[in-house]
Amino acid sequence: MIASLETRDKSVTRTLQGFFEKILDTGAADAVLVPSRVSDSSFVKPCLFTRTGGLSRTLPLGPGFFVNAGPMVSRLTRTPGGGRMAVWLRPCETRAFVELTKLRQGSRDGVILISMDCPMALSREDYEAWAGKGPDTGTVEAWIRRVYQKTGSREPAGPEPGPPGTESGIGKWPVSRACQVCDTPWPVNADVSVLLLGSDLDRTISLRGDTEKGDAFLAGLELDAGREPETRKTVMADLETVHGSAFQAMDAAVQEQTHAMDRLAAFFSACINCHNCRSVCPVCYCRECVFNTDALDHDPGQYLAWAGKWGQVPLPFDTLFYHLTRMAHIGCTCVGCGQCTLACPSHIPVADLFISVSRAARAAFDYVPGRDDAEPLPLSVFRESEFSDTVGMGEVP
Amino acid sequence: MPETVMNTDPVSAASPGSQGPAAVGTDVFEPVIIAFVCNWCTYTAADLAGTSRLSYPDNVRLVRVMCTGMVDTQYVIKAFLEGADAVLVSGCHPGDCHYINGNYKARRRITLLRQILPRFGIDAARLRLTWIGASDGIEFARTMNRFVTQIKELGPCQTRLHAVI
Repeated sequence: MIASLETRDKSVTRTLQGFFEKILDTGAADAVLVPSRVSDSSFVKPCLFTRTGGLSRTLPLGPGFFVNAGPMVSRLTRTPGGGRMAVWLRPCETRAFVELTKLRQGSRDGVILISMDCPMALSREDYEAWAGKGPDTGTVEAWIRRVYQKTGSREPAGPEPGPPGTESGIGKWPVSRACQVCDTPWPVNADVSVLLLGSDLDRTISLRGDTEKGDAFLAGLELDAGREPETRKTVMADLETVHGSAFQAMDAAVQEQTHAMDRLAAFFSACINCHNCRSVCPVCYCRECVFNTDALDHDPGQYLAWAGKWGQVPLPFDTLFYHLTRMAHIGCTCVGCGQCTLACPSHIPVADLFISVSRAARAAFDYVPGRDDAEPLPLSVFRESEFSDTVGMGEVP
Repeated sequence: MPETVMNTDPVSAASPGSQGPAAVGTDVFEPVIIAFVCNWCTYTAADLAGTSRLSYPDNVRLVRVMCTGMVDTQYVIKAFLEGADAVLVSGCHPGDCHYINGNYKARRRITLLRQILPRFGIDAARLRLTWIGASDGIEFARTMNRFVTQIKELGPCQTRLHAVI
């Protein structure tokens, strides 16, 4: 079913805050998880609300994206918590959570996944400049109008919100690279989808139930009937084209930059082995990472042996080993959220490389992360007859 | 008995007095090939090749593992980063795995690595997966000879020449 919310005070943010209030007031859920400013800082984090009081600080559609909430929902659902939760997730957060449920690190039971046509995200530097001391509602509303009324082929409507950001050379959007190349910036596999693209945001916002649970949830809220915005499909097709060509350009650039091992080493030369990219990665799922174990506490003499072999050895060591291993471990499940780039203190565009590699890796297994709960992780299953090309010594002499 | 290499440095791991890999910069390129072989099939085949007096080049260093299903992708990555010119993973034929299905899992992992590594200049031909049964001593020696020939033609892997770790 499709329901609708009437826009309040011409403010999408206020309208959605009212929607969350209604969820709590009607008891449709005992708690809602929504990105919210913490204190009066401009930064947002997913916050779990059980009372309506603090909801005025929430920014459900802002460009701040510094925590992928997928693993946060995993924390909330890995064992039954006793209450029903509604969680507000970006599409890539939904994908990440679905991947984690496949690893039994979370469960969809007792949780309503509400996802939306994506508000996109700014890079950290741009966000800081954009948000200043704290984004006011007007700035956020301008952002929302810009994102949802831009189709890629049309120029943004209305004035530019905040600084224009950096010209990326790939697209004119100052959104982060991961967002520019995202192949599904709309909800897939959520319980409720909020349909914003192509919508007349000053009037109504449409919500679509995509599962039985989602339908029942919307029915319980007794909202007005709604329908998918007429131009949404066209806008989606436009976005797909624009993002597709942005990906092609980025992919080509990354491959050019890293086509040999020494180029890859140069790409990661600023890496300080802080492993932040792993900490923020929503699908880097191991409870204990091998790179935290003593397996890599090399014998001191070993470093001298390496230096002896190559004439030099960079320290800290095992940088490429770490990144390549991560690529192999999460290559098929990378949801393309771009958190690794946001978290890198050395400004390495980690996500560019991981997204580029993962698109190729998952294609080999015809796998799309988050698309379907029933689709198993490629490395967790096998068939008896498959990949015969992988086996053997190549051409027969 | 095949030689099981414990030293993680493939270049210095050449046994003394052998015709092991020449140092970088000399005329003859002797590749270093790390072979992860399963205890039950390919390692036994290597043993059989030895007792049958079949010869194969000592460029190949065997690392005995209980099953190809335990060869994590990082083993292969580490071998390349340490300067190996090629890596072989070899185990039981489909249906023969001592642990029922480890070889099928290995096939998926190697498929994944063959997607990833070539993007960074490591030719897919440097990473092979084969099935060699316990009684295939002849096949083992033939495969090793063929692999060494192939890698000699390909030349040294970049990681052998420069530290890129």
